[in-house]
Amino acid sequence: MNYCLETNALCKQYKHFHALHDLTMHVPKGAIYGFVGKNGAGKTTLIRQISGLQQPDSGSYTLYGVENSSPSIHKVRRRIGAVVESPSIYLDMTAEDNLKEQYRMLGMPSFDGIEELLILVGLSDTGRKRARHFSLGMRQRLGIAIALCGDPDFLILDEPVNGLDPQGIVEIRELILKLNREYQITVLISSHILDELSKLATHYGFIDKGTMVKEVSAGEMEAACRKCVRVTVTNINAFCRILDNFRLEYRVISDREADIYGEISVTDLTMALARENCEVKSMRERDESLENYYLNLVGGGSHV
Amino acid sequence: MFNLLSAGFYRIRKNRLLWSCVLIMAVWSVILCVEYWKNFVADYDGVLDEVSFMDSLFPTLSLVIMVFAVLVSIFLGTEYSDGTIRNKVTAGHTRGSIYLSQFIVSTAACLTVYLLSLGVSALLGFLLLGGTDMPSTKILIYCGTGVLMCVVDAAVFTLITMTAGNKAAGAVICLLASFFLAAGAGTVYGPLSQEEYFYQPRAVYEAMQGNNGTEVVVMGGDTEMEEENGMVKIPNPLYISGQKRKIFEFLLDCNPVGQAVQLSELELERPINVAVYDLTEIVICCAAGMLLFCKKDLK
Repeated sequence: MNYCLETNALCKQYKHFHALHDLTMHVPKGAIYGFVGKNGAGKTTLIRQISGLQQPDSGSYTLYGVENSSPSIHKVRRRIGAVVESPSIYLDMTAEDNLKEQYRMLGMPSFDGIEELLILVGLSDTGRKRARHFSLGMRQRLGIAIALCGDPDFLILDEPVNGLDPQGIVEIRELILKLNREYQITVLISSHILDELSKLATHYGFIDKGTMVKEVSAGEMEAACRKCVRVTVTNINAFCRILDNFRLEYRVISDREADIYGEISVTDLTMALARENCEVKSMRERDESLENYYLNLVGGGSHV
Repeated sequence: MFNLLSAGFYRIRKNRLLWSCVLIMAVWSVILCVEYWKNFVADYDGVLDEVSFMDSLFPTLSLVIMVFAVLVSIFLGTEYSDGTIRNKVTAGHTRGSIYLSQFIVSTAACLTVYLLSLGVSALLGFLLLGGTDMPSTKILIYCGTGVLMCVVDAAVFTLITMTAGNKAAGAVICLLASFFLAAGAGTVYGPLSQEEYFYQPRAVYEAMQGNNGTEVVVMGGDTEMEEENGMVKIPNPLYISGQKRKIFEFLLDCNPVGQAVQLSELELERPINVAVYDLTEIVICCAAGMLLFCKKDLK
């Protein structure tokens, strides 16, 4: 698989605090990668390192195959756009002037495309209004527009919906989906709002205490979080035979437990099991959310 | 680098603070010219021979360092407070080129303030105070030293702001640094500006020797005294000489406010030394600033 970002055992320490500890992650090209972790888990530290704002203490990362220690990493960075924490915009400038400033900084030959960018992020009607007077959502969208100057292939968004109202959250979500689907931009989104992330992400990386706990695709995540009935029985072999006869999809968890997916008739199942002398000890419906999945991964004690 | 400069110059051109500083300095120049005119021309009912536009040309420089401190720290500090410095790094520019471009833009801003203020002083001073017989090369040396002094100020304040990493902290440190430099220049210039001798009428001197035959030590006058035209030439005990004077001269010459004081008094005695110190300070500030900024963790 082709990755636009790979990190290898990245470490970063602030005095006595280990912000990143041997962090290894892989962001596939074309993905919307949800980077999940609670506050202080190390999400922003990683993003700062990828963006070149900070240097790792040890370990390395590659952007489009170029290692961070290579002199050409600066050139590769031109392929990325980033909004790290708060949007980086000049508050005393208009949206258009902010974009012009970014165009100049990138050495773009003309200002063609600025109008389209403003339309894309829904800021085309802001006129002479300075960014200082923008709402939080408008600033966030302007920050994304600035990150999109120079047509990046990889967009990094750090907590893009933090502090936004529901309308703003929907707008940002639709914008990200549009950028990914229509412009084939790979997106890395860090967030601790799991419900919102689950509406976007094609891949997930779960980070805790500076370490990557697990990386999964959205498909794998969906399977793990799928609605099912967990049944505890005295004879797992008989139970499996009966489930096969019923043509039900299931997964054996242990020698006494199995998860059954799909609709089942509890009466028919228990009667069939009784005929096989298999006793049903317990039966409970399971609907694991992304939140539960994450809490199970990181030990459950902490809140996301 | 060119792209960063292009973006930086666009921003400084539209910066209200820059034009406010230009206006403040221009008004200040006008006030000083008019004050000079009132003190030396209007009250004497005609232009005095020893007064020219040169007298009103540089006095504004003594306090311009504080204007530069505010201008540079707020202009560059905005990159941190608005977070836009991150855009420059993320866009693939090297830390070194970012620092240098910030220094060049700050220098241009400081020179704009200085040169426009100088222009106002020169024009109005010429109209009110008249021309000068000072050699043009000397005038050019004075103006050039002023330019170098502005570049040093810009280098120092760029170093402070870019390494402070915070707009408010940068502004406070820059202002404190400017006060410190001004105080340092004042402390050093006081003893250096003392005359080596002072003169007293013989009658006064003799009266101070006492009436009862007891000799009174005159102002620490334990050194040789000479008599000239009925005046007694007495060595000034506050005058410093030897190695101490050289150290004080060095401290005055390498301090941009010290240079400004010398320019405003039209007493720049060691222009080559001053130029060498200025260039050295610019190089040191830029090198140190780039080194620190390259290692700095940005947020």
